[in-house]
Amino acid sequence: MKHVRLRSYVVVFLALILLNFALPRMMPGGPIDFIEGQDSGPTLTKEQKESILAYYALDESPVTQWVRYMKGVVTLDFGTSFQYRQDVGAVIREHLPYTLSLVGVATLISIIISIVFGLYSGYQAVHKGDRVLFGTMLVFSALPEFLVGMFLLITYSVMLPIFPMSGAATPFLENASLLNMMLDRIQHAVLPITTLILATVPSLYLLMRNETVRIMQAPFIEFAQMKGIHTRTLLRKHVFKNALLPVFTMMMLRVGLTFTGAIFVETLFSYPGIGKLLRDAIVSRDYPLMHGLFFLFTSIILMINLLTDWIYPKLDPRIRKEDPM
Amino acid sequence: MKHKKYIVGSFILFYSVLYFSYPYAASSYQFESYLAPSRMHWLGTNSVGQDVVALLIEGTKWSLIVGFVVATASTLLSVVLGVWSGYFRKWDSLWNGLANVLLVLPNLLIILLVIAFTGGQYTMLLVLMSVLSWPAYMRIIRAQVMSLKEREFIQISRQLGNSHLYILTRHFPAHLKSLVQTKWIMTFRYAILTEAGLAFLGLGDPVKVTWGKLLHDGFSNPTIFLNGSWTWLVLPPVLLLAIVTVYISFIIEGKNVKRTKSSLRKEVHCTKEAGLRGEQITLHYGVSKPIFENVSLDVQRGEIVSITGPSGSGKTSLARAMYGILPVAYYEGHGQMDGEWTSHPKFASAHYFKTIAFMYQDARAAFNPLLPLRQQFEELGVTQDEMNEALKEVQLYETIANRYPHECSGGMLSRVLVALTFVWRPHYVICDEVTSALDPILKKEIIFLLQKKAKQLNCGVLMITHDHDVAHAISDRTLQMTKENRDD
Repeated sequence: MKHVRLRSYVVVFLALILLNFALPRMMPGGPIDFIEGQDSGPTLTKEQKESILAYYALDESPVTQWVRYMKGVVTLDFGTSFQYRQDVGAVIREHLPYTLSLVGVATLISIIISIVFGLYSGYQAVHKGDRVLFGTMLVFSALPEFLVGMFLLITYSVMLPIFPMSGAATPFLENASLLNMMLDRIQHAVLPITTLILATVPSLYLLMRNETVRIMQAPFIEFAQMKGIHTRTLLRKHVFKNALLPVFTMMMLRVGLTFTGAIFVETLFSYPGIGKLLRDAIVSRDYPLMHGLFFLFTSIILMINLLTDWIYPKLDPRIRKEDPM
Repeated sequence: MKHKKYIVGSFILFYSVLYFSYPYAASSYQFESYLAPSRMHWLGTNSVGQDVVALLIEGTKWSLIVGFVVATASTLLSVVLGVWSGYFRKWDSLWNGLANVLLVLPNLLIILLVIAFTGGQYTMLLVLMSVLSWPAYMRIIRAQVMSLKEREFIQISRQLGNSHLYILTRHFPAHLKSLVQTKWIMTFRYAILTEAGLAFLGLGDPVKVTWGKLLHDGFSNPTIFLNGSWTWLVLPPVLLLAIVTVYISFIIEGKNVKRTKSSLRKEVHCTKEAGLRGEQITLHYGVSKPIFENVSLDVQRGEIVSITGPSGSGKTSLARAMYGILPVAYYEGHGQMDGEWTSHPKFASAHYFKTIAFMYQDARAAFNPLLPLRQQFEELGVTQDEMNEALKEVQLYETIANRYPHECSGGMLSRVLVALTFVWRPHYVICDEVTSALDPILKKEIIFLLQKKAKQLNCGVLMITHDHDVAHAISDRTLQMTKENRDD
């Protein structure tokens, strides 16, 4: 099982690297004709054309191009961004912390909320005591990041101007003490993080709830109830781990999705993370930056998958003892 | 969701009336910019002077087409590939492997990569989404087909000489119908939302008006929040998207949110008699025809009483009712122990395993697989010494407590269960089919152990068993339940 998964990760990774190489070169006439043929594409200066030509090295043989491309991938050198006129690595390093903090905080809070609510809800489901919670979550599970974010933005920045509409910090902040700067940054991050949480929690919650409902019917839960154990202990010691194990993998996959969710959230709130950077790079046809960002997103998601496969056996004593992998 | 047909129907009717009778076209720019809603323009105009209602009519068309086309194409792909892989097992590893690979990466990332180089033309998006969204349900359909194929009625049909085509068209559709419906609806929602998301990012087709495109156009101009025009430029497409997708979720999950009758409150007057007693218990599981009626029995300390009867006679439920663990809505009458009602909310924490214990029928199923046995003793409040003492009395080493259930044999677990049952020296014990899963030698051993323990602690035992030999060998009294709802 594990080798099959590892193999599919390698295949995915290679396929994407290949796709990134082949797509711009497969276009009839190459990337420049493509940009000029688009009515929405930006008009190119001679200088820009040259930089694109130099970047793709289209006048060389395909083999040389491939070698040069792979060398770039292996050494993590993706070239110079057209837009920022800076090394792609440097541009990404500057924007990455914003996304990591948004997604990190949102993921942590989401997992805690969905596990607690999912456990409670699954426990109550037998008596249908969770209908309101379940219904609310069902509503939110239907809404993608940009719609949830739009509602929050309209409600809390337009109608009730509590939180700022865009950016990660106020430029030229008055009384710029360290404390004020931190408060200002937190204030800017509240809506994006809340959006990510509201978009992530429902699916995790529904997974956890379904699994809790299933575990609640297990004989050992009935036996634990027969022992007269308090409800909270029952949920914490008997239901929690047994329900978490089967959904752990799915949960981690959903965490990977939160990174793609950041593309929408950061664009909506003009938050300067790598999600907005990717969107802007695609719109302005900044190929080197795009290349670096696709590489980064793919790596992050595959890393999460790998991490999941590595942690899972450590959580389950039945696998741990029988099959040391 | 009874009104599903009417809701969808009236939406289609309303939309077509509007589509054919609305006076303005989405393509005309003849009006002033940012006109507020009025009788002329129901939802005003946008920054370049287009009528918003006309745009919404156009956008609804193209957004719904995305949903229909992608849902249909993707569903077809998952069904064809699922049946192909699961039934014929040809190229199974290719399709299944491809599905695995596609499932690792979020679709969105691949779509973004492709449209970054090819542009986000409408038809291109339709093809991309259809090609990327089949794997999850293809795998479910494949698994379903594989298990169906092994079922007897398919095997028999095959032996009768029916062709594969006949079997696939006659037997499979009924079994795959609900899966296919769910897949179609889910993909319909996925396609509309993905297109809207891409268009919102400004990466959709620049010339096709869709809900997402309207959002993008409204949103890319920050002045809409200053002059208040967001209420008619942004809000309508947001609400349309939200209402459609939320409605779809409720179609899919709606069946889970049905209301059921809440459990009854019950008043019980306990008599003062000693012993573990079942008083006038009628088991009906909330439906009209009872499994048995008016069963009363009692067990005094120091005696072993057996209840025998065929499976389905309700003897296990009777034991659970007397223990107070069966939901009170399932039966009439009550169980009591030394004058206390066993279903009273406070009874469990005061008496379970202290004065009355329940020995579960299957030792392997009774223990939590993810906790070491030690913890399953300790949660009762048992000390280390008490646990060791109890384990020693059933001829087990103390070290077994550190093991997980899957590391013990069935015989060990049965003995651990005996130790656990008697660790607090209860006055009454209910044993539910404790010997049914054991081999004859082990059965004898466990019965002997039980008998010894009960005598030693002057314990009242209620044995539930379908084994008459066991019942007669150790019982002081034997009660028999029959299918005719009587007890002797």
